[in-house]
Amino acid sequence: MAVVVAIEFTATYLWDGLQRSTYPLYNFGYFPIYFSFSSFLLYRLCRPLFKIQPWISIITGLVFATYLVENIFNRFNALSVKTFLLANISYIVICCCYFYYLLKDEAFVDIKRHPPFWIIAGLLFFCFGSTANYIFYDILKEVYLKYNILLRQYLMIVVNFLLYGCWSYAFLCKYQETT
Amino acid sequence: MQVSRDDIIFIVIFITSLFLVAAGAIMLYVYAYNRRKRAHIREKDAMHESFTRQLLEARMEMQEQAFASISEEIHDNVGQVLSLASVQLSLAQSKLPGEPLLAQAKSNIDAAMQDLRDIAKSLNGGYLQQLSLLQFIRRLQRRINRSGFIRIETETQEQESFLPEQVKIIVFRILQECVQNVLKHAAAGRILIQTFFEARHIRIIFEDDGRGFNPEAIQNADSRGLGLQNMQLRIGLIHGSLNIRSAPGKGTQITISVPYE
Repeated sequence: MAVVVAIEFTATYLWDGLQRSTYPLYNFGYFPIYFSFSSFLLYRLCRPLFKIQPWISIITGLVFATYLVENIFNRFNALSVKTFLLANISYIVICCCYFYYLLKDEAFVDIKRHPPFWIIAGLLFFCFGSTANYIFYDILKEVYLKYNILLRQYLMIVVNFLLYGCWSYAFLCKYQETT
Repeated sequence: MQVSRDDIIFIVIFITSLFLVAAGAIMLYVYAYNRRKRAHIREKDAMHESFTRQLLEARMEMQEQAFASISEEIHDNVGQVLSLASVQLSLAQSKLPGEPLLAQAKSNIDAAMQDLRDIAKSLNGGYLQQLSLLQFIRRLQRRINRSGFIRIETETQEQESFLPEQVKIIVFRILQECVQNVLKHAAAGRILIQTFFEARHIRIIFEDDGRGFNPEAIQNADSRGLGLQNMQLRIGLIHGSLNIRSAPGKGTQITISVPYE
């Protein structure tokens, strides 16, 4: 969360202060951190339920290839929207797999108080919300440039609120578990 | 076709909301399914518990029948033969008065008959059901103390509360199992049985000064803890509880708690 806040502040400084593009920051700063952290999180949480390692390897390979091709194609001067989209869709699939295996598992867990469930739920909300955002990326960009409406930012605030809300609740559950 | 600014904003917000609702719907489905899963697991557990209970009841019934038939055999066959031998020795004594060996043999036969009668009674469930808990404990005390190997002491309240017959027989069998375990494994010199008749339940504390054991290790071992497991299962049948406190070299204390209903 601290890294995300730092990146957002840097982006604001670059855009407002220096009038420079923020794409390199998101492409080479934010995306690798977002992708590696989310993949690691899913790997750790899904590992007890099903064999996730091959899937993470395949997704990493595909996302990395898309990331390279897209950046070369964009000449490193545009947001890697397709890479973000691919990563998000992959995460949605993994989250759904997690739910499937959680329900299939013989052991019962009270999901209302199960921290991994809320971590995955937060990620699912975030991925769904930001996927819609990336699908309409060009339109939202046009809305901003033409009408000066920060719709994309507002939508991202909503999905971030859902993400960190679920994660905060997961930490509360974990705290209750340990006390 | 030119799309207005408001329409674009509406469409984007609508589709994003739709995506978020889809995520919410997945979560709701998982929650609902999980609740059904919990109900199913509870049902399965209840069925398993009921099956175990029925199995245990059937086993206990068979055991009681076997005990009753052994008791009858002892009373009707061995008991009759020993009675006859006792009468014959009395006749022999009248023909050979003053023969010390005959008097000693008769005394031994009479002692054996008394022991056999006690064993037959302790095996006979029908007879045991006529006894109260305190009468049973005193009988057990008399029988074991007569052997001279080990000494049973009791501490009981004067005012006795009565237990239903089915409950009583299970408590008696558990106490017999406790004594058997002490005789077989504990190498103890003394057993103390304390009985407390409390408002809602009877509490029996059974302790010995034997070699003790590690209860966890015994319960984890497959066959060695079978007697203890059986005791736990039996007490479960009458909604009671059985706690074992023991440590190597420190004796064993078993607390049995049985509700009146």
